[in-house]
Amino acid sequence: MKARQALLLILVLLAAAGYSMWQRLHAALPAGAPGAGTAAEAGRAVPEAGSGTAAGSGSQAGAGSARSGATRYGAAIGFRSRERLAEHFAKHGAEFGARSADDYLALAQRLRDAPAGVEILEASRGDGVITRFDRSSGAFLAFDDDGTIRTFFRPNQGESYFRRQLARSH
Amino acid sequence: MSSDAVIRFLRARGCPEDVVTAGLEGRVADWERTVDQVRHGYPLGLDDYLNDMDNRQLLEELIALIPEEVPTVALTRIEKADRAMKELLAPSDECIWGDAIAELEGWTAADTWWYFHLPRSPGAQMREELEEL
Repeated sequence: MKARQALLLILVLLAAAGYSMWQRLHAALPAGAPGAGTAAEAGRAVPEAGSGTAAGSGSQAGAGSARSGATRYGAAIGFRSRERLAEHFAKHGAEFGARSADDYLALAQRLRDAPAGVEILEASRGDGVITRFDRSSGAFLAFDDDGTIRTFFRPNQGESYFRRQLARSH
Repeated sequence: MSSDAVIRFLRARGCPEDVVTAGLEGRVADWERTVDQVRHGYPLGLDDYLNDMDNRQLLEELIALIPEEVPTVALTRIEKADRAMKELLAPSDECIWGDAIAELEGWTAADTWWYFHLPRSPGAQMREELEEL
């Protein structure tokens, strides 16, 4: 009986030591590494659901958003697939006078990679998608945080479409 | 050729210049194209779809605010497209822009049905996006 109690005590002590070691390792892992926990746990900026954050939008211009500066994703990152690019070009290419899908893609990438400011408004939606509106061309862009473009067009209702996107609940 | 009243309205609503120039005919033709796209499985995502429904909203406002500028032939085309569209849609649980915006804008399912329905058979991109919600 005493032997069983001793064995149980050893097991409990081993489990406690293991948990303590796992905690120290977990804290030492860089954000984004496998097993490093969620972005929120790692202290990274996460847009609040349903609120949206804007940069370069009047009074909020340059307001501390991690997305307020330019991130150059480059020409290698475009739409998710050539097929998706072709579908968007077919619908919206003429709005920009783009002669080819590649021209249309280059315009979208240029807006995505340009610095946000007074002319180029930017907002992170509640679903994590980043949206931009170019006041000079009237172009709207939505892309994922890895730079993958979701859509690029000139909204029928101009800037008010972009503003409405900020208040979208989904 | 668009009337000055239509041009003024579209400009005041913040429409891009190509939309302004295309005038009423452009808006009606665009709505007909949207219905056709939905009929064949809407190929784009929710952002594009919202923009297309905003076009239908522009038509509604044109009809309400300057009815004298919307000829019978245009009304007939809109009504025909509307009938076809309704057969292709299913009711959404809420306004597709979100209920907060619907309340702000005064949209209701009865008056602005295009903001309260979604395609029955959307294409891959919209289907994926709706599943993400």
